[in-house]
Amino acid sequence: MGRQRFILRGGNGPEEVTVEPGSTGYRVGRGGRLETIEVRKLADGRVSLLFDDGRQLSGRGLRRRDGVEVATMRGSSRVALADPLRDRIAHVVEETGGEEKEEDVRALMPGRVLEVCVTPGDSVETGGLLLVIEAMKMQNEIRARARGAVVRVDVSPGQAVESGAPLLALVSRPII
Amino acid sequence: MPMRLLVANRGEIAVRIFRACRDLGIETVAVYSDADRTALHVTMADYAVRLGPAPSAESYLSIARILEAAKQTGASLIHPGYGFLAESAEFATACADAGLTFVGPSPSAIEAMGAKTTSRVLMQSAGVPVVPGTTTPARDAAELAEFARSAGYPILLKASAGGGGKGMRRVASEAELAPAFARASAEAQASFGDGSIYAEKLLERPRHVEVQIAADQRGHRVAVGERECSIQRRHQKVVEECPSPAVLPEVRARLFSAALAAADAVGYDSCGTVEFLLAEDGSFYFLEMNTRLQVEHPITEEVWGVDLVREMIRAALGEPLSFGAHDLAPRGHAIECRVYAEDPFHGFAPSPGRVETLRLPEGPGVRNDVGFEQGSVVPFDYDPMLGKLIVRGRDRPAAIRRLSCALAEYELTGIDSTLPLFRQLVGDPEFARGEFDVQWLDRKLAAGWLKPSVAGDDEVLLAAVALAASAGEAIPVLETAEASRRSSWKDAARREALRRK
Repeated sequence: MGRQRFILRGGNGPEEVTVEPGSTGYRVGRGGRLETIEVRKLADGRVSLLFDDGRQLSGRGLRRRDGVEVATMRGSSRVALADPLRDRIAHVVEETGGEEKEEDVRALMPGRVLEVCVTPGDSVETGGLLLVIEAMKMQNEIRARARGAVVRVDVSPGQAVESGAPLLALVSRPII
Repeated sequence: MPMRLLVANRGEIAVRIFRACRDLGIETVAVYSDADRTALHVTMADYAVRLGPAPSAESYLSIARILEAAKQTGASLIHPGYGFLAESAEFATACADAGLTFVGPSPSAIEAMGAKTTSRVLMQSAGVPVVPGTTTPARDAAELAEFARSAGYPILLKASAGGGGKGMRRVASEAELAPAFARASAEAQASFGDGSIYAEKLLERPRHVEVQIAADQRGHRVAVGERECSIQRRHQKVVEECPSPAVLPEVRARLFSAALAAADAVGYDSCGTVEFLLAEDGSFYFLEMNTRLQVEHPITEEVWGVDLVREMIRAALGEPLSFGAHDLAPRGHAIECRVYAEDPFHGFAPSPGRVETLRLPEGPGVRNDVGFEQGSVVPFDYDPMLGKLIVRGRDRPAAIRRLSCALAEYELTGIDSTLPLFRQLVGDPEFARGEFDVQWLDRKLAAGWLKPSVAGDDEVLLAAVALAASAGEAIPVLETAEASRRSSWKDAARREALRRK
């Protein structure tokens, strides 16, 4: 059983959290620090976390479309699941600024292509669906953050992609 | 045959009334629409009768079907709860005509208090203060100046013929009166063809304070304390407390006697509430009387140690109140939050749907009046109130602390609710100081006061663990402590058995 990586956005902004089964519990890594947590599933579906220093927190983490709803004895809050691939697209558009510029959209983590929703030559509007990638056991919809056109598609459904692999190329179309 | 009471209502108030019935040894009859066949109030009742399809007009508002249900089940008492038919004189009369006991005041009291204009005249003659105003339309500003001098500025000019804000002007001083009158009168003339204007004293930042009345058919009437209901959103009460932090002992005495005078004027003989607007200077004015059980009745019950629903049923049966004014003493401070299935982050849009998980707060001084359970579906056909969280503490700060803890414990998922609003409220310094009026919450919300709660560091880790676990085979979550202990006992027993062989 391998290590799983999540990019989560709580009160302190986006951060990477890794979860990995260890000999006495789970090793959870964040900000370069590893912590061992004992996790028990409770009869009513909640989990109880017991940290190294004796800290205890029980609650429920409910999967939502955009993240996790966490309900504990301290109240309820949302933890957003940041999508690194989507953030990547936003990054591309930012870089090109006002000019037309071609740029690759690359996978930032290993995954599998489930669906390719565009072909070269297609125009995409802001929010248009480009690809669906299964990563971290979740289906991530990759949507365009700005208007543009598809120049090239490098992947096909079912294909596994490594971290850093090009997925498609977009040329941004600034609104004038 | 045991006595049976039918509740012509649904949700938490039906559940609340059934509890009082059990306390009195009365059997319970629920009525339901197709949307509510498996609702809590139905599954709690001794008898249940289907009224019709989900729309209220064909179910909970159908007098004929409700009376038929009473006949069918042999119910002799009908409690209307609040909302639906609770303030329908027609329903109260129909119950009496069918030989049923309506648990509430007489139809004449309902009718007298039902129309705002006639009740205002009635109250005036009973000596209950109403918002001061001129009674005859004025043709020029001079006619209003005298009124303004006696009532005090600011005053509000209103078109005699109109409404909708046309011809309405706020006047803060005598210097403003003549020009404001000219504009208001011209507006009224243009809009309604009638330029006559009347004036009312304008209450600035008033509070909503109400007095609970308990009465019986033998002429006993008791004022069971007041409630503060100024935390409102668009004229809808959201949070109530008992007592009011704004009512001083001297004002309280005058408030109670005004409320009793209002109840006397209509020969009130059940539980009801007289509502007032309270101005900053301690003056107060009659607003209306609610001739029924109020949503916020539990805070009065908690502080004054009475069961108002039980008293209502006893009074309807002709029995005397079980207490007099001198038997009662208030204890501590109570606060109620109305938990609605609404999304406070998206304009309070209704949020019907399935309640995925529900864990209610518990502990000393915590009471939950709810009409739903985990797994219940909140239908979109009715009022979105899920229930009420009520806490009591030895004083107001203690009650707020207790409320804060209870709100943190309250787990409700699957649908959106107003819980985040209350969690924000309990930490607000103005609320803590009791400094608010009926528009306070609307002003706060308009200013972006409500913020989503932020996940702490450990909550983020809990989310990561939940994600890892939800990824199916990825990470098995350990067995519960109980389960593993049970299996080790089995192992031990097995070993013991082997040794004996």
